[in-house]
Amino acid sequence: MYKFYKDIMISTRSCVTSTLRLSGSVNILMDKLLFRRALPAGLLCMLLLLVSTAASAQTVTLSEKNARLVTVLEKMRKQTGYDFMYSTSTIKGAGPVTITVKNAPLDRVLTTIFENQPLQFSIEDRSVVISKKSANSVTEVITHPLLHGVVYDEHHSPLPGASVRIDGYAQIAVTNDQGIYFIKDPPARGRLMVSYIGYQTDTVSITNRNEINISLTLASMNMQEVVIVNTGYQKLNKERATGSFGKPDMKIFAERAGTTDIVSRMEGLVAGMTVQPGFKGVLPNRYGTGTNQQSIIRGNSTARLPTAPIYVVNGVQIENLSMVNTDDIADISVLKDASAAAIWGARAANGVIVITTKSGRAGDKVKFSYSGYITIQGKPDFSSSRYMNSSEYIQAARETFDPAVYPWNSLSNSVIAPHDLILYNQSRGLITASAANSSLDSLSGINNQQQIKDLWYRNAFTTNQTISASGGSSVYNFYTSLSYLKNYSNQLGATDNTYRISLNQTINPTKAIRISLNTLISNNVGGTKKTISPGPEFIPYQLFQDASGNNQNLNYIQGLSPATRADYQARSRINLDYSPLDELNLGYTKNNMLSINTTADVNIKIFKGLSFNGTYGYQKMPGKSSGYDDSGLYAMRKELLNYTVARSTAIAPVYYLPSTGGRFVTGNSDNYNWTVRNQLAYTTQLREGKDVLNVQAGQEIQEQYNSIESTILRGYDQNLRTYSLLDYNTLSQGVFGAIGSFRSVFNEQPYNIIYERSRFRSYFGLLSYSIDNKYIIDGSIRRDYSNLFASGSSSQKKPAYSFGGKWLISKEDFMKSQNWIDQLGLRVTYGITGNSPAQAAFSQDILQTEINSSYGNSLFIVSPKNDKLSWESTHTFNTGIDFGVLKGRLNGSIDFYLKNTTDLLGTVPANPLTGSGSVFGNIGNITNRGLEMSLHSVNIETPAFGWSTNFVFSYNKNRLVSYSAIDPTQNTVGNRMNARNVVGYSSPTLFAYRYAGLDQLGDPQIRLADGTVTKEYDAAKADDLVYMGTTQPKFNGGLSNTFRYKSLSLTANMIYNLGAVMRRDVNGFYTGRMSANAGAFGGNLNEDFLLRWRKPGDEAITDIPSYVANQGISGSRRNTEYYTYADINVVSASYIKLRDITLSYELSSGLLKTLHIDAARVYAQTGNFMIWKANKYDIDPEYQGYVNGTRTIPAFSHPFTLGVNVTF
Amino acid sequence: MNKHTLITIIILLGLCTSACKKDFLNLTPQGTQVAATTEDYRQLMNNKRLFVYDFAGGWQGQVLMGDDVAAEESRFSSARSVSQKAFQWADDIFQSDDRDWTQELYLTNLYTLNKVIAEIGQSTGGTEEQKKVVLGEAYASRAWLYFQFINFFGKSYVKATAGTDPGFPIITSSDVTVKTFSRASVQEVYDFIETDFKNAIAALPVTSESAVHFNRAAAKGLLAKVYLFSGRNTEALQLFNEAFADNAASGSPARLYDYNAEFAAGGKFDPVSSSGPANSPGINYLDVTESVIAKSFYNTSYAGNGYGNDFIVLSSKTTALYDSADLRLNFYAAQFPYQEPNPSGRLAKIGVQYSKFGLQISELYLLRAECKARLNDLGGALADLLVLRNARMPASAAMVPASAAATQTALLAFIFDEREREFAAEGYRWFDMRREAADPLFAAKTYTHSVYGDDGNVTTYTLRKERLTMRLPYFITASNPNMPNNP
Repeated sequence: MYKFYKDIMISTRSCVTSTLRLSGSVNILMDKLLFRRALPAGLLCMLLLLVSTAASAQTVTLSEKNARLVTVLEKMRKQTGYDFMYSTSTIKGAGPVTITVKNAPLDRVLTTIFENQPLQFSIEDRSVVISKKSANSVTEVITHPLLHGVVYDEHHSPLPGASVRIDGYAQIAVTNDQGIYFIKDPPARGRLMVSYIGYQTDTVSITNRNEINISLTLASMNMQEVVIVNTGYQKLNKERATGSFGKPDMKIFAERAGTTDIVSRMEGLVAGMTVQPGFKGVLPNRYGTGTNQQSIIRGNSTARLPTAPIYVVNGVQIENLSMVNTDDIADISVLKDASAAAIWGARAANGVIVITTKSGRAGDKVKFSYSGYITIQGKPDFSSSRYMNSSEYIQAARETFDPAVYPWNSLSNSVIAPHDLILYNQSRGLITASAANSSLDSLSGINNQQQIKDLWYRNAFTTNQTISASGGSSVYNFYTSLSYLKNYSNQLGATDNTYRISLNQTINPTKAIRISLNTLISNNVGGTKKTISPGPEFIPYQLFQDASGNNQNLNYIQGLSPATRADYQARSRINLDYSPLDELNLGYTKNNMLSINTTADVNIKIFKGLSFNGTYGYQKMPGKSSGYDDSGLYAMRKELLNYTVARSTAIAPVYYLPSTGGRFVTGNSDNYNWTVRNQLAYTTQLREGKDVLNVQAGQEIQEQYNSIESTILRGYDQNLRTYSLLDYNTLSQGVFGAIGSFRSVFNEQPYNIIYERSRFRSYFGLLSYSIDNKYIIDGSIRRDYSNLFASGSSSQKKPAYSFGGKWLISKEDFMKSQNWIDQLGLRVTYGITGNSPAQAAFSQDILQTEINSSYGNSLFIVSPKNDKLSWESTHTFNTGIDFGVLKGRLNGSIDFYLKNTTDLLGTVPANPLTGSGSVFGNIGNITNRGLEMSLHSVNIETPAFGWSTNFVFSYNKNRLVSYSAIDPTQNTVGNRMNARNVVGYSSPTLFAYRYAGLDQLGDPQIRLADGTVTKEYDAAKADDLVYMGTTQPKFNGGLSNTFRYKSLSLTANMIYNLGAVMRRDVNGFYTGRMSANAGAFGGNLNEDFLLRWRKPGDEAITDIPSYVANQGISGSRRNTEYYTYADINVVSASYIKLRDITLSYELSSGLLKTLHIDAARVYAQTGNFMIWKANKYDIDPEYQGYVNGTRTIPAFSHPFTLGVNVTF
Repeated sequence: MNKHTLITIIILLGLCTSACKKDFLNLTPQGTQVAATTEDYRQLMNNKRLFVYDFAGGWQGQVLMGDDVAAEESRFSSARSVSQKAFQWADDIFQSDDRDWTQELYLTNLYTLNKVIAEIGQSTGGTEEQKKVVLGEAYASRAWLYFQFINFFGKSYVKATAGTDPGFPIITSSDVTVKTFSRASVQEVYDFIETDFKNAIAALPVTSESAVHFNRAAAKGLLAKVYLFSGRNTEALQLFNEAFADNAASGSPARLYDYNAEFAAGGKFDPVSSSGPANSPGINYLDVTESVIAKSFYNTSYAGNGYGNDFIVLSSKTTALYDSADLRLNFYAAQFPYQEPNPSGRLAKIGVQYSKFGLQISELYLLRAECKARLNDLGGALADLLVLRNARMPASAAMVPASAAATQTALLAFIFDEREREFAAEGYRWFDMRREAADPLFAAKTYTHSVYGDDGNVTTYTLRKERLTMRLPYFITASNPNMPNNP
């Protein structure tokens, strides 16, 4: 009823009397109101004066006699353009209408029409809602009371323009000049919320009252709503927390339907958190039980250990973040500095992301809500690639064709593509030049891109539907949800469905006890078929189907020349045709993963500030997978061929592997983790309540177990479920004289099991002391013990600890006069967190078993010991200010940090004479320094229009300060080119050759540090390379703007990543035969190849090296990497993207009432628009390999989402 | 719920967690393994990497460097750069981005052997006898590795200069953190090898677990070879004789295949097809019939690592050495890999995937014959030669020509030719070239390599004398910039 009340109360064009007359019942009530309450005379006058003014400019002309109501309504709709909303059953009992009016106002006409009908109406916006009248007006008064009252400011003067609404309902009233508000149909047990900028929001229970007067207090006394941050161990008022916490805007988080990934949804919303965008950032969880986007909090502070933060859900660390439904998340806290994270001990150096799921609210009636969306991603966009088209490709093939270097008879086991066959046929004199040319010309005219898209890809979409219920009483409340997530990828035949249930319950059996039980169950069911994903890197003229739609054989792709294939086929009697499209249904993989996560939280108040808190978590993730490869698959036929002995076509072939059935693989995985945490907390007030002391201490034990076992059956018949028994011993000794192979050795293990169990025991303590409510100091300490490293030895870690302080400046007396400052606080923290060097024992050589049926099983060394390793420690200093000014118009925080990591763990080159090329060791010391800023501003806030902005900015710069042990190989080009860390430079480093152009042979030259220009292989040392920058953005963050006009809102989220560099994708083919790898759908070349050096003099116009067919000549004459890894091919990876833009519409409740819906919202979203990029090569840095310069084709260009949220 | 109940709950919970205390962390991390028992060390010595270089390594490079081979240009030009350079006797075969698998694999094995030697004494659960076997094997394996290193990177042994000629660093610890190494002299390395073999001989049993594990005969035979290479002929002969005796006494003595029988109808190697003689040891590294100590390396076409021998054919000189009745010719045909005929008619090895380079019984005969010839026991030498030749060809052809048997130098030359016939295209020849070049008993020779073009043109490469000693590969010099390389 948003508009309805606004029109009455605010607009001078409104006519209160006429509007109120719309409904008799309201009218009666209004009369009562006006006379019973002594309203200020001015108001009364105004109300009366307004009577004559028309409520609506719309007029109606009608002349009806005994017309059907529907007909009359339809005429009015046509004349006014208003929508008339009613259900057929509502107007069933309506009588005939007789009326004659000319240019009468709509509302009057309606009043007349409905006077004698069992119906009532209301007008809002441009809609007329028609509903049934109640049996009598008296009942009507009771069920539709008009809640009213006056809102006062701190001096008890009426406050105009304050927003009044009922918690959980969409309707909002705004107080008029006299501070008066009216709300129609308030729920008897609802809660009234009154807010005004600069004042503290007040909430009052309605409890059957009709009149509620409220006095607001100025917000500067306690300006902000209490923001709670959660460390997983304790909940803190953000205002009082000394540590650095980040919180994403949960509204944007909830709306980002373009991805179901929790980490991706936080991109650009938390200062200091860099989400690694694009496919490159997607990594499996530790146990491979799902994937999620990776993020880095405050820069790289570890070199080889995982850089992802740890994830905590409802107080317990979990491995599989993908089991959580984004719709169930109530709150996320990102712990950034030592003070925030040190309580997580040895594993917290990368930061912690703490997620709390939704819970029920005491006192609410049971509320249901539905949220659903569909995001359509479509097919991959090949146009972003830089490969040749068919005619360019054929031209390149003609130019590089060299039968002298690559004679026909040396190609028996090579890929000979159709164009290549034509060229060889011509050179061998089998066909004439003109026949060859015409064949090649016809290939030049074919473009396979559209066919590939049609045949191998489908339109991808993702949809998530969640239905939830919540409610409860003071002793019990709950939140439960059921959701279905369907991920329909662009891969043919792939399925990926996730079903999730969550149930969060809180039980308060007595005032002193609170028990929370949180359960999340997630079931992921998926599968694939035998599809391939060819793209523009495939030979551009090769079609998969001929003109009449028959699937084509692409035999040559498997790398056997026609003669070889014919011979193999004849001897083995195995068909070696290969048609990719026919293989689609010849095999599958299926997986079914269940994740169960339960957490119990028990809080008992023992006495006088002493309380006990127990957290008990259990996660179990059983998973099953199976895969079947039919013997009809080419790969299976080829394998069989390699185990087939037939020396001539006359001899019956002997098959050493089953030639029927298929290969059936099953896998079972099991993971479980449990956590038991007991802690005691004590809070007391000292100095007559001026100071507050809070002490907590606790113990935690944890176990993690995971196992994976797999079985492989051969010759498996899916229907009969029979399989063949193999002679593994004979096969592992090798089959001699097999076709296409001298000897084939079969080392497949029919059964395999891997398992790992790790245990931790930790002790921790927390302390905080607040003086005069202005000065807060706190500290934490934690020590972890684990079975992974020998106890009692030096490998055990020193404890992780932190301490910090906060000064709430705005609470000082001298700040009281500064009215414009709402809040100001200064924080300083310091602490140490660490990383264990060992996933496994590092002080000993790690061995691995090898099964060998001929000489018996054996062991070999997989990783050599390095007993000079020590723990990686990160010392973090953080200081920040939190502020709020201009009565809530602008607030934010700024943080500066210094992270100093000593004994950085990573891969260091070893002297190869030790028997190891590299070793896991302490690299050196790295510093990370950075600045973070989060700003939230309310730029415009009027009842009709609002504009607010969120700005998140992070700057991070790291530098490798020292190297523990310099190895001479670090001075080689090969090492420097691939090094992630180089002393004195920001990591991860990117180096390049200093390019000096081509010489008169088209060979690339470089300039060394001393100025010499050379093309000699290995002429450069590390110091001859130029540092181009780092592949990690220095600046990143986001900018969100939300515009609201009435019920419509538009949110645009931009993200930016600035300051990184990347290699661009250049041609890498300069020698060898233009061919493809057998079995892969490659073969095409970068279009830059066309611009290469071809003749002397070209060096003046191109930087792209010449092509030299003979690999030996090319390799000894020059190094083409001097070009591909040259400085001219390193470009800036800075870019700004419009990540998503969302248009949403809040349906007004009056409309919804007829549908028994409390609130509804529909929204549409799209995104992934490049706003600005620093490179001129049309590279989207999110899809570029920064170090190797490979360009990947995005799976989609712009996703489009439609979604709806409904509460009822 | 009253206060007493609450306190009881807390105490119970507290007890529960502390009850788990004692053994909670006393759990070996599963899924990883460390060496502790004698059996663990025995299994480390059973590691396939110590006796089969099955994808790269071994003497792949040396195969290309012997003058017993030539190249077909049609295959040569498409070969990898390292293979071409090895064949051309280039100074440096490896560039920064090439991997020298041979040395990488050897050095990794050296780490394992040093670990076993250092730790086997403290291992648990084994008898002293069992530990001795493992220790002896590790010593012998390390000595064998060092014999490889010194023959790759040290000059051929010449007593007068061995004390100053740079050899290879002597590494006896398994420690990845060591940063600097320096090259020991050729003499020091030979002494080190001798000590290791002596330690091995003292510890090894007459019969080993299998032929891929050292037994006493193998250690003695190889030490004798080392003596022969360093001119200690008398000591060598003594040990050769002991090695033959120990081999005979072993539970499964190495023995020569009699090709006359095996190639006859129904014999083991019958029939010979385009994929080579049936069931020959060359296709099965598990066939250790002729091995005193069996070590094998992958010696066929390029398969993604190493060199590949796709372009190799026998040199005309080597082809000419064979008597047409020599049954060893059954292992050669005018064929490229994958059974493709070579129209030029030049021979290449067929039906061979692995070549053996530990110690073959045939080489033991040839080494003892050479040793006897050097000690001027020409008759004894002829007798050993005849044992081998009789197993390789019909008796009618087996006799050593009188001219060859007449003088020490002629007989030595014949023995070297016999080595070439026995081990053609298996890498042995390059090591013999090193010895010939440094041996006054041999006439000075110029070694050349021919590349045959399809058009009949022949490109010739000539070996510089310095290249009989390989230069340290890039990956070693890069990490050891102060280590002098060979000229």
